[in-house]
Amino acid sequence: MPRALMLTLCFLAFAVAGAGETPADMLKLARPRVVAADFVQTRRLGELDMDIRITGSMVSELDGRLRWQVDSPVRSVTLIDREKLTHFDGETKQLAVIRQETFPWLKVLRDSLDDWLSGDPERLEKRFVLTVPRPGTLHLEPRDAAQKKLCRSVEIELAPDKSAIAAIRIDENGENRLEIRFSRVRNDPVLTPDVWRVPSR
Amino acid sequence: MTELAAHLIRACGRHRALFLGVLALLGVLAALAAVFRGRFTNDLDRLFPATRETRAVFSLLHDAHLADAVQLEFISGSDVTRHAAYLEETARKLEKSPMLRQVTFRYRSDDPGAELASFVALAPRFLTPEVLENCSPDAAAKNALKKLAFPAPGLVRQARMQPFGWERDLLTRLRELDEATGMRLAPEFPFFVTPDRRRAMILAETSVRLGDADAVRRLFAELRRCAGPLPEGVELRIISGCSHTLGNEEVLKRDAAISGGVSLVLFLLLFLWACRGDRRALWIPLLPLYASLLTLGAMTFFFREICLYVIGLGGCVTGLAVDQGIHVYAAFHGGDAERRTAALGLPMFLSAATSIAVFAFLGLTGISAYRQLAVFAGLSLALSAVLALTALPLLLDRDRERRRILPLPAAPGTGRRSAALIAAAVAALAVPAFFRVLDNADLSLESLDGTPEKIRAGELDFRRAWRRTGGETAVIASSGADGEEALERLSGIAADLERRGIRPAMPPRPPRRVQAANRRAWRTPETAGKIAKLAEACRISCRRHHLPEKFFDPFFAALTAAVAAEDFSLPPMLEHIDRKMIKTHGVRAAAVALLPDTPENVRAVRAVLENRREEHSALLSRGGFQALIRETAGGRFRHLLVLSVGSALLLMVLVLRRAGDVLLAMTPVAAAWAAVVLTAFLTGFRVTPAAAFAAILLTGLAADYGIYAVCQLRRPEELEIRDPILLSAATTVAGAGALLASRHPVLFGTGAVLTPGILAACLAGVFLVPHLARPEGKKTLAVLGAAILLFVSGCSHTAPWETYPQRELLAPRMRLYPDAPFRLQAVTEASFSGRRFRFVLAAEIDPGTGKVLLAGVDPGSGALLFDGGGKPGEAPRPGTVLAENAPGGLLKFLEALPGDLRQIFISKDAKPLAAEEKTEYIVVYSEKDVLWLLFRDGTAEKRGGGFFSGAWRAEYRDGGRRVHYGRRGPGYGYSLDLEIRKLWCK
Repeated sequence: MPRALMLTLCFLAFAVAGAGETPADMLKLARPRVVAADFVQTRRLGELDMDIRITGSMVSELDGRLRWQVDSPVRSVTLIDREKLTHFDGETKQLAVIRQETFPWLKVLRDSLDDWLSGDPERLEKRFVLTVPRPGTLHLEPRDAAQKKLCRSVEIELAPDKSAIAAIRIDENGENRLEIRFSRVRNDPVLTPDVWRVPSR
Repeated sequence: MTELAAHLIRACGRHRALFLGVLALLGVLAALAAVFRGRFTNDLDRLFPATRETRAVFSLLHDAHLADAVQLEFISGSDVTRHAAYLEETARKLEKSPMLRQVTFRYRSDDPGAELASFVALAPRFLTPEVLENCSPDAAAKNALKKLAFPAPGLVRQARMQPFGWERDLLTRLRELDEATGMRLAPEFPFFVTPDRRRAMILAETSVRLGDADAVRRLFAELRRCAGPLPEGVELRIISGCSHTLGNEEVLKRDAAISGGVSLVLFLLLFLWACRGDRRALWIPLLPLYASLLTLGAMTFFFREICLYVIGLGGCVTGLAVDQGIHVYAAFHGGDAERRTAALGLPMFLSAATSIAVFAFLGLTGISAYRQLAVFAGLSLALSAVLALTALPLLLDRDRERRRILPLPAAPGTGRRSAALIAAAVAALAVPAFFRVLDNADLSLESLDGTPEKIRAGELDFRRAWRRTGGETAVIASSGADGEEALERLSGIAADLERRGIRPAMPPRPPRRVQAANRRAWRTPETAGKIAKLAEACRISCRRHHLPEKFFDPFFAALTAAVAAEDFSLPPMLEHIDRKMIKTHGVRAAAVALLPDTPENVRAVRAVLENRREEHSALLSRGGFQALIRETAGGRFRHLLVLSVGSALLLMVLVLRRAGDVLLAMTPVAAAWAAVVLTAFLTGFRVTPAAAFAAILLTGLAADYGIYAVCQLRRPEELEIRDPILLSAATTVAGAGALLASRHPVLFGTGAVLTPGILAACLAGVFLVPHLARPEGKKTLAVLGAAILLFVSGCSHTAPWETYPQRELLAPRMRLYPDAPFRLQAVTEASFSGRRFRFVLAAEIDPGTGKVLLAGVDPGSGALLFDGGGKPGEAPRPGTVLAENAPGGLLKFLEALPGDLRQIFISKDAKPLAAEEKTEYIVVYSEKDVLWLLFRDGTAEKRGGGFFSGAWRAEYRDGGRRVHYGRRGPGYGYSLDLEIRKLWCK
């Protein structure tokens, strides 16, 4: 569940991938069909004054599939598609499949993703207050109190040439923050079908 | 004692006819009493104290009919669903069988969408009208649009019939139930099919009694008749507890044929060899049987119901008395037959009295079956001893020819000292082996099940095919006059458990009383007004969202009809589950709920049942049963066992009056136990309850050998014990040795204990005891004692830490982490409540103040799972994503985690005090009840909180980079595996 919720926020980022100086501009710009990138997640633990680094790679499709591969500190692959969430634990080689019909919350998650992936400013505006605090950065603040509990705000930072996302910053409660910094971003790369399969055990 | 025995023998000899006549008359009266007065039972609950909990467990075991299930599995090499018509027909045939009930093949209708849509009809019975307050017509319209946008069949009906998600609670219950049962099914079929479509199943229940082998055979024939002829390529397998009845019977038949045949031949050979065909020797086993009959007759006047298994166990105990007859048989010959027989009075009295003392204490347990066993065994043994002394001489021929069993020289040979030393060494080796054998013991009830491997393999294959992997399931069962009363009671228990954070998987419907009350509330004019208002608001919302205005009308029509309806019917799937979980046949109805069989759940359920003083509800689970035995029976036996052994020893001290003689008398017992333990250690034999019971018999027999041996040393001119001991050992070994050919664990376990044990005890009684009694034997005794002490102390000595030579080398192995405040990051896997979860642990530990600040991060998404902690007593808080759904077990885990990290990472207070070298490791004793085991391979282990093995244990590898930590109950138990990736000082 926590994994799925956090990955949802990443979807959000790629739903708004594009460049513009106002939220509406950013959302209106064309988005690539597939985005692939490497990432470094840095989890800031406020109380401990400590950072935890998680590295890996991801592939996101506009039609709703996401591959989230973590290489360190532990190996895992998570695939989300329309029907299910598949998680492969690279350490134990165990596979867990959560189907939408058995876990209603996965459906709720999907519905939220649909909203975000639509890139429809009206739909997003209903959920978030959208601002551009500085050039190339989109700031989203949840309107819903329940969502605010999960994250205070999300910031999406575009690369200097505005062709890709450079980073996503999720501020949970001021003290605890999560930054996902992307590198080697490829728009519409050529993918093998294996990308949407879990690794063999 | 000898004088009294001589007087008795003389008196009986004078009035031979009268005495035997009285005995015959008493035997007839006892037999009549046993037949006409005796009421016998096989109820296992008599084996437990008559507490509220045991009464409830055993009555619910009967009422819940959990053992009645029969599963017919159809295995096909290809797609089994091709044979759906055949399976349907077979189910119909099974339904007509008088031996079966509740036959289920289809568990839901063909159209799951229709079934889901029909849930609206349940709303006025399952829900209160308050749900209307939270219905948003706008959200309903939006959700309907979302559903319609999804290109899947059946969603239109679903969207129209489920606007407000009222079905979610029911679906959650079904999901919980699905998780609890752990069944693997292909959901696309309305009947039971595995996801690979190779197996199908028909479920049924039978009224056949589990232990009735003939009825089980008839049932299986009936099942095969109904299932025949099988389609080509399809195999039928019957999975049922009844298979164990037939399996056990099959194994026992084979064992009886082989073991019985072998022991019969051995007994005949012994009889012909030792007694030279003297038919009067047959009185030896008959007299203990007669004593048992007299006791049984007497017991019918004291006990309202006598447990049959007590008679069986007591009969085995009475078998000890055969040895008394053998001694009398050996002594009663020639002109001074009476004098020699009277000399047996003291050892016979003492051996019977020690056995009786042990059993007498069983009577103090307050448990019905043990009280009966104490009376039966004690009285039978006492009567057997008296009859052996008084009646047996009247029935024997004093002028028969004598023959020695083994023509061995009576004088000690030169090899005896060596033999004694070897025996001492063996006994000493047995001490460490004893603890290993005890560790390896299997005292579960399953260990008594002799079901053949083929049936077990079939059941395992069935479980693998039909069940998802996971832990055991526990059942909470409640009974009542009818199903509704049972369900009401169960619902009350579930409500109490939910307050403790435990949610059992309940039957998916509320009791009818609640359903009726809900429906009445829906029929009020206010509610009708609210429904009408909501329907109108929905129409407006539909218009606003460009949906047809009457889009939700089918929902409101179905709801209105359901409010007006009078029935309590359920959709097919719920009906199937309801029938499985609420059993209404039998004298009392029962309802069951399921939950994982974890120690925390067992504790919570037992506490709730105790608080509610539930007489008609019980926890039926492996874990619960073990806890019940441990708490209600275990505690009583520990004290009484010590008392009974102590009293037997005291009796020996009082009669023999010399501690040295008591020790000598106990030598065969030590030898017997050493032989059994070493045999078990070398062969890997696992101790079972049957073996434990055989060990009690062995102790009794071996102690008797010791008593006779000591008495012979005192009166060598009157007593000759070598032949009778050899003969009695030979008869026991002839019976027990043949059991080694058995496949049934009960028979094999008995043979495996008695055969080596009796051989060793007999040799010790005949050779070792006389040797130890001589002056040179004292040296052997000293060697024996020293060897035992050496092994008990672990072949090593403890040295103060300050003077221990290797302390400089060992100290760094216990200083794995800095003494100054430090930080670490570790990939951590926690296992608790049968679950595992992995997180990245970030912690700051201050060994000076004991402050532990920590956080857990999901290693995939980076989500914060928990953070906080601090001073001792402060627990971390679950993160936002966990806070709402954190199970009770997780919260307890978080509470315990900081304290456990202190135990793992802080060692500075545990100052080493002493070291002791063992074979595989060095033990370092420290302050604060902590000890270190430093292994030769570099592994270190820290234990604490307990005397022997400790309440917690941390194992360090790679210089402390990898840690396995385990924490045992009775508190909250779990384990942690940490792989430290980073560690640095602040």
